[in-house]
Amino acid sequence: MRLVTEPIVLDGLLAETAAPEAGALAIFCGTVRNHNEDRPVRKLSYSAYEPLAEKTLAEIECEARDKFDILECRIVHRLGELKIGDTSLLIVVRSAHRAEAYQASRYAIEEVKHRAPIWKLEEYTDGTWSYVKGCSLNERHHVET
Amino acid sequence: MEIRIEYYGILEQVCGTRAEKLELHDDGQATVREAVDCLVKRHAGLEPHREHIAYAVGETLIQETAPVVDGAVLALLPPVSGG
Repeated sequence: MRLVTEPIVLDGLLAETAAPEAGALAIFCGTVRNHNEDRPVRKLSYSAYEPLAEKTLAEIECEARDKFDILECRIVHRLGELKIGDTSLLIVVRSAHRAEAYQASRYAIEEVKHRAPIWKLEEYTDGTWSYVKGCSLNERHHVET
Repeated sequence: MEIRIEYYGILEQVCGTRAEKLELHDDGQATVREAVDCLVKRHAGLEPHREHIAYAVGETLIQETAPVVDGAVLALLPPVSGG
């Protein structure tokens, strides 16, 4: 499961990806911040087109393993309502050496942001809300690695 | 024929619904583009978003030129903002 509605458990991902050949572990954690574009944010709600989102996250994991000399890549994204400070996303990469782990982790988060059909709805402290401007799935993008 | 339309992200707000049915002519030539032409007539607010909307059936992205079949579920996906 790469899309979850309950808090993401880091320990579980660490256990799943444990590898004696790994000398590096890179963890990227996305968290809910209390502001965006100068507006104070009270909470977020994530929604997804789940059939394609699940498939896309799995593809990104495979691509990261193909492109970089890493042992494991796992991506888990939270859905539903999140409060400030909650974890929205975890990416766990294990590799023999640190450079590849950093590169693969950066690749994975950029691809998630551009390709995963997931939407972020922000609610502000004044009670108004709006969807965050995002990336069209019709547009190709290039990620520096 | 009849297909089901699903709206995601801001499109749910624009169209005022999460999903709805759409009747299309039944000559085997219907495409996503025709379906969306009908939807824009039904929901004028869709037009400014159209250029940036992607389409999917199941777990596959499809083009506006793709055919649609009776009973299909067509998902309209606005720009994404996960992470």
